[in-house]
Amino acid sequence: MRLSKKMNKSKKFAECDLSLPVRKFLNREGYDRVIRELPFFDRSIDVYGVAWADEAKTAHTAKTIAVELKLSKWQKALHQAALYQLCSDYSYVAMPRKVAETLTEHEDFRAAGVGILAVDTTSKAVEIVLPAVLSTQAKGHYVGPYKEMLRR
Amino acid sequence: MPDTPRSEVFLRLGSHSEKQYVIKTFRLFHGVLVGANLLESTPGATVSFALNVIGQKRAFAIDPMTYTFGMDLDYIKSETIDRTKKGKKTTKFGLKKSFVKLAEEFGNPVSDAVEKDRPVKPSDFDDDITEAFCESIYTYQTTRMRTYFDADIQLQEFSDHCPDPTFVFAPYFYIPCPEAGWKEWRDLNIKLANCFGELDGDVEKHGVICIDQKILDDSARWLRLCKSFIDTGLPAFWLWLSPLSEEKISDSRLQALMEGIDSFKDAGRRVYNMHGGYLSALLSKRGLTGFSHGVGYGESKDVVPVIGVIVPVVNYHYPPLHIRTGIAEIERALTELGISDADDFHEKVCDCTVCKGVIAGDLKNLRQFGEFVLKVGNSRESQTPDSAKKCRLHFLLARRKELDHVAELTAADLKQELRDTAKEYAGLPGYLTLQSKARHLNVWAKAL
Repeated sequence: MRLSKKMNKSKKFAECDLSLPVRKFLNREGYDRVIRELPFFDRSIDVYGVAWADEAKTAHTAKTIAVELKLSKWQKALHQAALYQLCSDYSYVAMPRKVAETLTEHEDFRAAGVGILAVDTTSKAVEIVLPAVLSTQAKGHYVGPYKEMLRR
Repeated sequence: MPDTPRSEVFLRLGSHSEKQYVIKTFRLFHGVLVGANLLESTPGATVSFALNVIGQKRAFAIDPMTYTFGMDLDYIKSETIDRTKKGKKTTKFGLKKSFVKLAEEFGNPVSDAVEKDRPVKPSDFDDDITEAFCESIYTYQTTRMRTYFDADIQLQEFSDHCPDPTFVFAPYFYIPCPEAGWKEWRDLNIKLANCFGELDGDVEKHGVICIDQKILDDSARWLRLCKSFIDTGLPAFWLWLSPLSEEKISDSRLQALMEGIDSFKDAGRRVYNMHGGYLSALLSKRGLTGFSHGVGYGESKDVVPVIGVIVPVVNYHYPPLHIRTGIAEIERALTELGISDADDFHEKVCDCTVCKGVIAGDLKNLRQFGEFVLKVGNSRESQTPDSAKKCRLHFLLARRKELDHVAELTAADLKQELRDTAKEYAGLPGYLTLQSKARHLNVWAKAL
């Protein structure tokens, strides 16, 4: 499935160009299975990953992560990432570094516990500029089926 | 103590797939409206449904939908298989059969215009044609159902029992104010309403003001228009301010709308909102007699139809804010709203039978109102029919509770309640979507 091609006019950089660097980053961070466009109600989570704690892929010890990709509309991204706290242990917004770095002190991100990933649009390097807090909103009836699906 | 009568709410039956909801719930409301195109496309089912509604002492009326013939005819066309061509399957783009039948029934100038594949225009209506057209629209609404009785061998002997609609609509066309030519359409609509009001006939006649909502930006012009319609002498009017969305209405437009309602009330006329929701219920305190809406959407309607195959999601009607919203947005805000279990939810959000049945003591069942599934051949997930059904039934029950609530409280109490709710939601954290979805409540409070 193709991600929407929202272009940043000046940089000729699209929202979907954030996807691959973020997925590679999550793999390096220990998320064994990372997928794009995971349906959640009438929305799609841009990137979703699961990190198994053991080889048996035990569900209750695994951790999950959801990432919303956005070029500039950070409020919309924050709203969506806050919703994804219902279905993941950690929820992040990934944005181009220049935008991401202006948001690290933002009260709404800190209050929500939503983290921020900064993506360097040239080198494609990804860095956590604000770590997400373990979600207290994650519901087993959402996270459980996702883990089950990603186990296969 | 209540200080106004309950709003007269009419459910609009948009298609027969919606009949299951309307049949279950119409007794909770004042009546039912059916589009003439639906009567033409499924006469048997519509007539039997009408008998059911009228038999239960509820109001019933047929919207003649005349406005569709004054707009781009492509809006009422569809692609069908061309059976006149032999060999390879070909398709043709033509007027939908139900509208072809309507054009035949309405006669000139509609039938002539359709023949020429163009919409009608104000200059088509000279005095003789106007009178004939009004008679035709009256006759259609009062006799069309009986015609179908007569045509059915099994029903023929009962055709005398076929009831009249509770009231009839005057023919109406969209007034594209303030675009060029809008005055001609305005004058035509007033002429039609005048002429319709002078027709003989026992069935009560209602006028329709179908106009771009931008008219509300010019209060003086809007009030002059209301006065022109009041002067037609018709006893009741339906306002269709296209595509007014109650949730997005501005202070100034609401003020103008209220002044218009006042003018009808002061003149002793009943006035309805053709497509409304909770704001319209609140406006009963100002003199709005009632309103209509569909079963799964339709609290706002644009005269320009949505063309395409996208099936809209039937979101959950969230009673505290009186809007539709995604179930995830509600579930995400539960903690901050102090809702920790099903009892809290029923106390603070909704205690209708559907909600109690679906939630069944466990809040995780709330997701059943927003279930999606990937159908074979589709790239996007779509709402399950069961989920949409639950949302529609909940909406209709919740709407009835809202109407009771408005009728039971005074305007001052409702105003305070709206302000309190707006304040409560404004205090939610900014990362919650619901926080920004309560702003309309402060605007609505100004209507009281």
